[in-house]
Amino acid sequence: MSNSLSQIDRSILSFASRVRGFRVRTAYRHSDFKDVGSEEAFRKRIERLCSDGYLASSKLPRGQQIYRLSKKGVEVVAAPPSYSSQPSLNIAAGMLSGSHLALKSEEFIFLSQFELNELLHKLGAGQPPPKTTISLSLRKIAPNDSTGTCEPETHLHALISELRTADELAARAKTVFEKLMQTTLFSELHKAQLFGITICVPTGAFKTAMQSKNLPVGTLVEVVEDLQDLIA
Amino acid sequence: MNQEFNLDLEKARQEGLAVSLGRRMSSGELQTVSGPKETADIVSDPVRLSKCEEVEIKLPKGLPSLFLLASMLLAFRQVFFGYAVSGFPIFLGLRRVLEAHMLFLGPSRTGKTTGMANVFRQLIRHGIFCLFIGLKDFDPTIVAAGRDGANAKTRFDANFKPCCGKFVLITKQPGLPSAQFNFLRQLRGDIPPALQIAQMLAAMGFDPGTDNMSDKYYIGSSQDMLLKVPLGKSFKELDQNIRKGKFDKDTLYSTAAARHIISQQAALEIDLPEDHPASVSLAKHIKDRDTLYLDCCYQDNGHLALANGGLMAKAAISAKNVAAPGSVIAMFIDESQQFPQPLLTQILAQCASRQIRVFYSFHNLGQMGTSWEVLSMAGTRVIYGAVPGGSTDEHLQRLFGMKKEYVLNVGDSFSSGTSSSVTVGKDVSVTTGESQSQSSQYGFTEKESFAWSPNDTLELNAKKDRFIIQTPDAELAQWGGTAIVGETGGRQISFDDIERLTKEALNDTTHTIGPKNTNPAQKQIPELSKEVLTKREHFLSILNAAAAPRTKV
Repeated sequence: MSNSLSQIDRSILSFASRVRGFRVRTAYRHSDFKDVGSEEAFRKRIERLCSDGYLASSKLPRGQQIYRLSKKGVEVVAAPPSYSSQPSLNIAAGMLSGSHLALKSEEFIFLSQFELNELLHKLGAGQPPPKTTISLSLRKIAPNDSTGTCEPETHLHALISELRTADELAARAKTVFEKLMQTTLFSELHKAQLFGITICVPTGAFKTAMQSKNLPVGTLVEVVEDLQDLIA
Repeated sequence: MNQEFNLDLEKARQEGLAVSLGRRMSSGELQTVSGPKETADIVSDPVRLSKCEEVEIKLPKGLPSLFLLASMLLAFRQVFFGYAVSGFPIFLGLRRVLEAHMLFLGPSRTGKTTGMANVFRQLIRHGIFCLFIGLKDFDPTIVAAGRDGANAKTRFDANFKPCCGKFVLITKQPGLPSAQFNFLRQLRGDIPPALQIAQMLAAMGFDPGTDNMSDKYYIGSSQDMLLKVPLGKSFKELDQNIRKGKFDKDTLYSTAAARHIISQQAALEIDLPEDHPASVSLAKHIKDRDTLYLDCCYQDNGHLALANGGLMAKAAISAKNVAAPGSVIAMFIDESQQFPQPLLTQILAQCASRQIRVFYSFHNLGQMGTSWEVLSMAGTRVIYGAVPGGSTDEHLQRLFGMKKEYVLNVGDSFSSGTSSSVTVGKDVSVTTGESQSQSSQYGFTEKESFAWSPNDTLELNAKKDRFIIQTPDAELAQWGGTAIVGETGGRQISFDDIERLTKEALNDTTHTIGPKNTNPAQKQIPELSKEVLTKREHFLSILNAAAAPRTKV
């Protein structure tokens, strides 16, 4: 990473490389940024990183700014080049959900592309990591009581955050699940009950509607109210 | 009214408690706390207490700090209720709290449920199995207290590692995610069917002990009918079995009420597989010392909510005898006036020897009807308000006992008189006379009157955070037979935290399903083979290593 960047600047770029994009209000609440001062100071710092060319911003349909890595930022943190492109609506939804879930740092762990590849490589016993366009994260899950322990287990979760109706999201979850199960590694993780899907929805009522759908085993639904900002 | 309550340090020390005011007793690590939340948290946190030597509790109203040895708080676990008017903290020993039932009294919006929630949260933190049956409506205060208590790592597991508990939300409010409780699945195989049916009917509000002969006829007939059909594993199954049965016209007539309630329960119930994560197994939850909140939601479910509450209470009592016969469990019943009264009377009168402690609330004693003496038979009473002139107001007067009053009598009298006479005879005599007298006296008359006056009731109602507590002498609660006045000193869980914890509980789908999930079987998890288990261990070690906290970039 560039030596001209401060420790906090580098943490911000690293955060962006894990969750792909974020809003200032959300990122400010993350435990990594406890010592950055006020929210306004944090916003100014982000804007400075934008003017220095490390970050780029886009406008959400309701007017708020969402920040992502720029081409220069992508090079600095070795993130995939696509992270610097203008996000589509569904990618923006993924950014909002990722940055929101990352606040629960004891439950959700977002990895950079490099760390994820390394993890998949290890899990696959040296096999090249499977290529997938689905976002993956680690999620701590309280184990089944039969294990008799309270320590949560770490599972690999596919993250689905798209603006669709409940029926469409359920169908999408099924498609994603079936597609991933064609890969030996994900199929083995699923058999070992260490794989799941996290679906992000904008409201509690939407979540209730989702729970009545026929979802793949290990699917959990999370409410991310920030997603409402994608609806103009 | 005993408002000058101070901690009786001498008596507390006689009970073996190491306590000091304004002066430290050791030179070891000190934990300093202030305010109601921190005070309640430290005394109900054996993990934190085991890491320090002494606890300093900062007191309000300019009082010096109270110092307690951590080892003493571990040996004599405490529950914090608030502060006396003088500023001293009101602690009740956990043993005392769990020795008898606890009654909460007060009109609506006086803080009964919040008071119950505070005790609920602390008992969970102490590692006691708690079941909260809320009859009125979904209450975020209870959800937050339960989740906060269960989330706290204040218990030790079998390997003496700090661990948290599990909070299970069962709500009958339409549209909310919920775990599912199935009464018939909790039934024990070692109890004869006739007794199980009698218990089920009692839980649904049919009092088998009634003196009314026509009620006896209907209940007996319902019991007889249920003995003739297989109970099955769910109300849906039982309902179908009853519908399949061939009964004569008289039986159908006399069992109409019971059949109606069973069919309504069947309509409400979602029958999950036994090993489904959202399926409630009371015996297991009691064994694991988990926390359950059943929101019966009277507003939406009417009398079915009451039957549901009764069934849960009965099932918990039955499951406790198998799962944890030697341990005490706590059952909270909010708005008890709605609860099937014969069942509540039976629970209060007979469950004490079974180590089931009931924490229950009423608006006033009048709601208890003729059974008020049995229903108010609690070891500790906490009163948040009373309607002036009502039965609770009168009870309050008796709780504070009598006081001697010396009424000052002052008397002052003054009299004067004049007289004159004229006698005319041989002589004439004229006589005039004048007299004056004055007397003053004062004295005192001794009389006995109630220590709690009607004005005190008005003051109790006016001050929102004020309450009355009465409990027998023990440990730090050495205030004699009469009640004392307390103040909560603020909330133990802030409104922001209540909102956050409730959101978390509703969004936690691990042990709940949506109300319309009719295809729960798809969530069944198959057993793992040995080979997969070995692979799982390998994967898990890699995943856990990847999730381990990293140093900042």
